[in-house]
Amino acid sequence: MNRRDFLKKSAVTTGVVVGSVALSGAAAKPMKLDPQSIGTKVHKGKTIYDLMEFNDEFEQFEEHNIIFSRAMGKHEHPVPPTFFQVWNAPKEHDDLGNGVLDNALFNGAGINWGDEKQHYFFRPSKPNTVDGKPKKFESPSEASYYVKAAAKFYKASAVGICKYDESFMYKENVEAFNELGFKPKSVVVLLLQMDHEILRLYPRPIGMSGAALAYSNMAEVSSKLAEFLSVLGYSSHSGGNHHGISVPLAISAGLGEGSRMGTLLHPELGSGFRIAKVFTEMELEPNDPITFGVEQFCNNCKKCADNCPSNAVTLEKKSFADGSNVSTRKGIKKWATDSEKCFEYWGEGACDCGRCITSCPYFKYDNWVHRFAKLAVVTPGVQNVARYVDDLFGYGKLPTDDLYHDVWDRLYKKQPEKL
Amino acid sequence: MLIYAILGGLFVAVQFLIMSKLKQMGKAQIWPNGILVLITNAILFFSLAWVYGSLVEFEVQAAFMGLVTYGAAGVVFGILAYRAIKNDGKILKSTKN
Repeated sequence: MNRRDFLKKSAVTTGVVVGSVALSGAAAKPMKLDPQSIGTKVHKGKTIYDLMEFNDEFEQFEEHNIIFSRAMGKHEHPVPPTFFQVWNAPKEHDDLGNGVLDNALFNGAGINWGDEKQHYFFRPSKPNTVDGKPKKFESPSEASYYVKAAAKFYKASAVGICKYDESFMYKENVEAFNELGFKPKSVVVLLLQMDHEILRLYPRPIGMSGAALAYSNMAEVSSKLAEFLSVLGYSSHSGGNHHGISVPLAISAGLGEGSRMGTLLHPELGSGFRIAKVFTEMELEPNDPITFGVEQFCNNCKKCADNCPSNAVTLEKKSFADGSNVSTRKGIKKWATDSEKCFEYWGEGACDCGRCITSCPYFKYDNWVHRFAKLAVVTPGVQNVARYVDDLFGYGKLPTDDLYHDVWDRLYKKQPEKL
Repeated sequence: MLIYAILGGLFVAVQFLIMSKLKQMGKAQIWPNGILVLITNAILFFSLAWVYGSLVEFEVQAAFMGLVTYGAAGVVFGILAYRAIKNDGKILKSTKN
């Protein structure tokens, strides 16, 4: 082999290796610390108040107005608590996705949830340093770096930070939960991805296991991070759904945009995750809010609304709530879902639903093929036909019986998460 | 992941083999031959990766639709590449003479 041939073959070999590694690397699951994907616009120095419309009726929301509190009683506008009476009941028949095994899977997945467990996990973490002094950082930016790294280690799927804003805290905590007990300066918002494999099996009860597992992880990850902050010398409090409204906090923390179905959409995680938060008195550098075309996408798509079995997701344009439904917050222009219809349907089916999340075109497996397709979605003009293409490719349909038949086999063969 | 790595390797290898063959024929100019071969190759391998990815997700309709749409795009570019190679770099053969 002469020198020319050697160089040529070396170049080809390098090309093959680089090509293979590039594709393999793209297939791996990346950590989303500060989302900066292609098509994502970071609004430097802006806040949620610059990106969303508010009017004079905007004020703190009372937690006892949310639909779950209304179903628990002690409210002037109660709703039937049917769902709470039937959702966790032992199953008598081994129907597909609704059998004894499925119920057991759901109960195991949600082990860290439930009233007593929530009291254990979602509690204040008081400063707990060796020398009694909080650790000093050179800047809030440096402190944020370590907090985000720790959140990543504790298995948060994405993390963002916003300043503490009383407006997005509940006016009054429902009596069962702790007050924060200190004045926070920052809120660390954590996204916990739900298991796509299981979640897509909604609306049969086995689908609930995907949400339940994420709820368990919310409790674990947020309480670990609160403990991390307390050992650094800063009072902190972990939180799941309580204390503050998660979606606006996550928008403020630069984690995504609000969608038609009322949930947050993240540029890479899509729609399949839950939100936890940690309130802390540590001064942290907030993220800037982001947009990635959700407003225009949801204006055109409406797939969640079309697939909602209870018609709870609106087909109308964004608007200010008129106050007819006390569970819908007034003062913010948004797509308001009708939680009364939604919750009533949950009771009828003895299962929470999630069809809006699983039919959303953003609900896709996180792999390079779909990330490539998402590049098209952020292209102006393509958003208008994305729903049509999504339907044409058959995404977001109700699961077939085959999917329920094979689910345990797929779980058995699941690959362990690699470092 | 291994399948994607193999497809990536095959993509680079096929591109190299075709360009070597074109070089032997004296038709390995970058535009249009090289670029069109690269686009064809990339689209066809992407459609294969799409089909594999969709079947793994149990999205059979998505697999077939991907094969049809991306595959068709690959075939179109393949025809353009073939014509360019056959007609000495001209995609549309001149009819003036």
